[in-house]
Amino acid sequence: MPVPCWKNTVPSLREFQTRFVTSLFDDDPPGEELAMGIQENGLSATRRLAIYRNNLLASLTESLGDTYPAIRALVGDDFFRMLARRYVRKHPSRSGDLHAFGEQFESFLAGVDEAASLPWISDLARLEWLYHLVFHAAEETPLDVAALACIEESDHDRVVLRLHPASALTWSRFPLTDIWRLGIHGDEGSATVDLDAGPAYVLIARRKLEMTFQSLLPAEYAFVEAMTAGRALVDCAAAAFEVDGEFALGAFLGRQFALGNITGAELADRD
Amino acid sequence: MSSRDAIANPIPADAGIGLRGDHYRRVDAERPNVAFLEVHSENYFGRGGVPHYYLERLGTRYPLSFHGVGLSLGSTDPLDENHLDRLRELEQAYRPALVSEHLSWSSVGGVFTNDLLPLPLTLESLDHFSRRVDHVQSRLGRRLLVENPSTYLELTDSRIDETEFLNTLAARTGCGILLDVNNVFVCATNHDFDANAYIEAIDADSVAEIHLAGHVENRFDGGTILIDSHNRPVCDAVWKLYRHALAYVGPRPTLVEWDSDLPALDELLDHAAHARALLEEHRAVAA
Repeated sequence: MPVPCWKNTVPSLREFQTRFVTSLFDDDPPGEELAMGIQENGLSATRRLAIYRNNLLASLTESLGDTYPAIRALVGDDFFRMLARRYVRKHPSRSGDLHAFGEQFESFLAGVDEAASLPWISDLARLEWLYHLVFHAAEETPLDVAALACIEESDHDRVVLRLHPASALTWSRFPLTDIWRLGIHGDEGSATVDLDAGPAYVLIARRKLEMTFQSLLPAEYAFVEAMTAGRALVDCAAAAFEVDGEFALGAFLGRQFALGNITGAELADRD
Repeated sequence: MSSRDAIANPIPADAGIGLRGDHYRRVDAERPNVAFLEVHSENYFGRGGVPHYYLERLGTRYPLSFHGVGLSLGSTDPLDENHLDRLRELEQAYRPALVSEHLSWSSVGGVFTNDLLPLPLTLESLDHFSRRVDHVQSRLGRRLLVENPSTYLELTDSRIDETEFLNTLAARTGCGILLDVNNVFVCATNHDFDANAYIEAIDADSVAEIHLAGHVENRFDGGTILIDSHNRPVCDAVWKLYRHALAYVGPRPTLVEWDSDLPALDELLDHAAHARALLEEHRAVAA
């Protein structure tokens, strides 16, 4: 049987897939070639493609909203849908695992003109992304403070403490966790937040199954930041003292062990 | 049940439910009488926390089924080996009784739609899809089930019936078929074919699991399209088609899928109980 001449113009699978996905991200009707490959059968190719376009937008909007529930609640569903629509086009999903979707929301929001009146929104996006990462991070058994007693005094200067992997650090000039609570709990708590009540230094932590925000002082933040960089305990302490000469190292360390924040103590090699 | 089914199916031909985060606590506390729990594999791609805590606990009490939605098997992009690595780690950690994916694609050029897109059913795509299933099965060291998807358009380029495509794929690669009865119903309505005939044409021996779900009806000027929404009860027509599947394919592990607008656990269990009743009724008639 002779192959009809149009058969030569039927796109290969690769070309078809490229055209199909391009059309899903395009608000204009699909091109003739793509329309040709879709059986209309009572409903136009444009309409049929629109179903996939709507599914794509709806599922990615829902995914983004699941990762950023406080922002969604604070800006409202309509505004959030508008943000998601733009975000999906600017930063499409790059993984079959939807947990990876939404990482650039913080930087994206910083460039949204309509959100300029919400100066805290990028910081809140960072908090929610880190919350999402911590929620899914690995579990590890906290170290008992007694383990430190086994370390020889001559080795104290090269002790490196390991922060629980389900931890993330952030700060903002705004009272970030108050804003987050307002979004998540709405009217249950205080319905307003004093935006001048910042700044906030926060360790987002999951201990066992519970997500918590640990509020830090600036010197404590400097300490934990140095710890996340893998620096030795003495260097972490020095970073904290630089911020606050009165930093109470012993009490702070005791609290870190009690909170389960420390999961390991190793000795760094001598230089 | 043939001896081949007994080997291929460590889950009995009984009803299971999808395990979703909102139901973790109650399922863990009440241990409802269902044959298995099915999860979306990608929901466990994280390393720890609440999802793994409950899956570890429940995985010791129930057979598990890992249902993937993100592998993009039909894509012409290279398979995402990191995705496959993580799936393999999970497979080894939890030893699920079933692992499944879809006859679809969801990405090209590195951009993911995270949706199940329609594949032109051609000799080219059959070769391509077969190679991908071979690769996944060899990496996982086990059989994969491939599910018939819901589609909202047909491609003039398609030259092979979906049943023939799936049957040939199963014969070539040794993969199983996950027969989604709701998707058959949705496609039969959307593309105007006989749903019963589809069920009769599928290779019964290859079918290792059955899915049931709810769908919604979208009306356009002059036309109606069914959307596989997983957000409502299984309708009577799909239950009827399920009975037809039991008659032609035989009893298989059956899952009631419900992913959005999740109902209370009791309603989900009622659905599983109904599937179980139909399985028992089938056995009584067959005996």
